[in-house]
This record gives sequence, structure tokens and C-alpha cells, in this order.
Amino acid sequence: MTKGFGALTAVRNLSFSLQEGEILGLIGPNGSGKTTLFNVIAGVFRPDSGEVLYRGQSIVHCSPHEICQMGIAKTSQTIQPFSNMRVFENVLVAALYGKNLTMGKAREETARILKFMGLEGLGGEPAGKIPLPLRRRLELSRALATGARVLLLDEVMAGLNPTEIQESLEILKKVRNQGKTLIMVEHVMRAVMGISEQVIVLNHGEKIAEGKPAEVAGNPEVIQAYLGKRYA
Amino acid sequence: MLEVYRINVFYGDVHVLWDVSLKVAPREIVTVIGPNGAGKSTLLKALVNLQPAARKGREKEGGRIIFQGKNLVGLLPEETVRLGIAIVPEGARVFPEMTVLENLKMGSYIEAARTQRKETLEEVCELFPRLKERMQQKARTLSGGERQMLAIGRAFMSKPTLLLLDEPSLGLQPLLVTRTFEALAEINRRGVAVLLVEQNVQFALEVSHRAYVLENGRIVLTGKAEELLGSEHVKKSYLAV
Repeated sequence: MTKGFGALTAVRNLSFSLQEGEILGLIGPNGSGKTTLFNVIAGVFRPDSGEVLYRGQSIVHCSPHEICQMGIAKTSQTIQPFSNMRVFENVLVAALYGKNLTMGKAREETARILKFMGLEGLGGEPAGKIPLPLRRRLELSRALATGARVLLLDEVMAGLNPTEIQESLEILKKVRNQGKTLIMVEHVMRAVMGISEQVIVLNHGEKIAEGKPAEVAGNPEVIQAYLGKRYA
Repeated sequence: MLEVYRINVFYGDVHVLWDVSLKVAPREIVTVIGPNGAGKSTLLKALVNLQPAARKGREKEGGRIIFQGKNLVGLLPEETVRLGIAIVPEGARVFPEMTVLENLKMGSYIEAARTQRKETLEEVCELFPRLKERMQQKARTLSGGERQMLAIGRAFMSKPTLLLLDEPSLGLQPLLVTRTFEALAEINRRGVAVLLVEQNVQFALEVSHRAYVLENGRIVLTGKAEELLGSEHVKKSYLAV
């Protein structure tokens, strides 16, 4: 798949595949095309060439809302809840939309997800008023509530301290254990290396390495372009 | 250089900062750590009056913020820039419709900085070569991490004597996190004092001289950075060890 903006090629000739239930870590320097790749998969951008196949079907001509209903949900780097709505209502909207449920069923599903995510006591709070780690958890809850099988997680650990990251990792493991497939864009090495089965490294829109976390972390090109000597 | 004495901040009826006091000596790097929601960003905003310290009718609870002998309480944010304070706000907050170069120039609008604009610009490019490549692009086309670099560069452009940074490492790739902290240490060696709010506690404490721990709006612990790195409370709550 290739996607450019004017003179800039953000993602160039990239191929990879992912099995159901896997966790793929996507890393690479700032501006290397990771978020663009997410936006192509989620239908926000159409690729210039190439294909995106989901369960055998091409989705490059689908719009974001169709892709969401097909089972791929993306969280955003800059969290974007409906700030003036309550936590419960934020998740409810996702449940109603993604799964096409009746109001009664959607409420049950929302309550179940909030409990699963440890947010059950916060349903009545305005979404914009809760602390950042909980807002990130809300973002993930909304993605789950759509009934997605594949979650695209764009820097869900950003801005969390190591203790908060650890808590967040436990939650992602719970999500994985439900059979969800995850692609994580993340700069927090403790997180991405700790949970991914497979890691892909992008640089200037091209894949420069892929493999198990430990292999990738020891790759000299990855150290030079992305990690720096401290992590070598 | 900076002395904060018992400031209180309210959001409506919610009391966010409680009698917070701290000091930054010239040439010092000081870090404030604490969980999300503890009031760290509010503290930085209060220093440059982006958020008033104390509300109307309770001015006495505003405390004092003394910078190089001047009380900052009640000054406009832009007046604090002229006094030599620059802030890198949380989430970068660059001007999206301006180019990278225009954003950087905006950082140097005060006269003292304008006269040295060319040299400072070179320093910023040396620090973040990626910005040099993107100089004519609009800031809205930058990636999240690139915006963060731009916000730091823009603050450097004002030639501050005190630099306030709200999570400068947020969204940066590991190599650039290292480079950003190295850059802060270098800036500091050139005579700039730094007050930092940071979730990357390990890196921040390694580069800092002293630190404060802010929890539920109150300073609960303070000391030399290396002492805090060894503190059981810090290890358990902030380093996950």
C-alpha cells in the first residue's frame, strides 16, 4: 500500500498481515507514517495504490463508518470523547452505533464494558472532566463497545507514568484474552515490547524491520533510526 | 530565581492546588512529578497566569509568585514572556495554519529574542534536524511528535531565562526523548533554569537537580533528584519497580 500527500510519500509500498487474536506493535520515528497507515486502514484516507484486505475483503473503498461497523475501530492519539456527555453516554453511543442494538440492549452492553474496563463508578461523570488515564480507558471502551474485532490503538500509553502504564497493559491483556486483534502504535517501549507478538518498524514510510520484539530491538538500523543508543 | 509561596488555584468551586510552595534556583533543573490529575499542568499555568492563582474574592489565598524579585501574580501571560519565562504547553499547541518557520518566529517576537533570531534558529535546527526539513510546511501537516519538537523549539526561540515544560517527551520516539533531555541539560548548562512536569519520571529525575512530588494538589515530598529516585514511594508509585 502507498499513500502520499502532495510531494510527500507518507507510506511507501508497505505490506504486512495479521492473524486474528494477535497483537502487532507498530513503531518508528515521529513522522514515519504510522498514523497515516491507521487512517488508511480505518478508511479516513484512500491509498494511492495497493490493497487493504479485512477477512478476505477489500475495504479501501469503504468509508470510516462502514469500516467501523465491519469490525475495525480506531482510537485517537489526541483523545476525542464527547466531552460534555457523561462517560456512560459516550460508550452508549458507540454500542448503539457499532452493533445496531436496541436502547435496552445497548445500555446493558455499556454497563458490561464499563465494568470490564474498571470504569463502572464513573458512568455519571462528564467525559471531559476525568483524569487522563481514565479518559484513555474511556477511548478504548468506546472502541470496544462498537463490537470491533480489530482495534487500532494510537499511542494509548502517551502521557501515562510507568505505574499507570502497567495498569493499562493489564487491561490490554484482558482485551486480548477476549480474542480481539490489536495493532498498537506506541513509543513506550515497556508497553510495546511487553505485549506485542510481532513488531513492525517504519522509517520514512517504509518497513525497515519486522519480527519478534527482542529481534527488532537489537536491530542496528532500528537502534540508529528510532531507539537511540540508550536502548541498545 | 523563582519562588512560589503558598498558591491556591480553584476551578469554579473545586480547589485544585492547596498551598503549593516551590523554588527554582538560577541554573537549576527542577521536576514536578505526580499522577495524572494531581494539578501539575495547573501549577505551570498558574505561574504565567494562564490560570489565575486564587479566584475573585479570595485573592488572599493567591499566595506569591516571585520571579527575579518581581511578583508575577496578576501579570498578563505575555508580560511574563518579556521577563524571560517561556512555556511549552501540554499537547504542543502550535499554530496549525502557520508554517514551521512562522511558528518558530512567533516564539521570538519579543525584542531581546528578535535580535538573536537567526542564531537561535540555527540552534533549534541543530537540536531537531527534522524541523529543518519541514520548515516551509504548515504545522497542521506535522505528526504528533514533530509538533512537540516545534513547541519546544518555539519556546527556545524566546531566549528564556526560565523554561517551563509540560510533558516535553509526550509522543516522542525513544531516540528523541533522549535527545530532548540532553538538549534540556545543554540549555541548562548555558544558564537557563528549567521547571519540568514529566511522566517519564526516570529520565526527568536523571537530568534534574531537585524534584517535588505533587499529589491531590499538594506537595507531599521534595528532595534532591537522586534521593527521590531511591525513595520507596517514588519507586512504587511512579517507576513501577
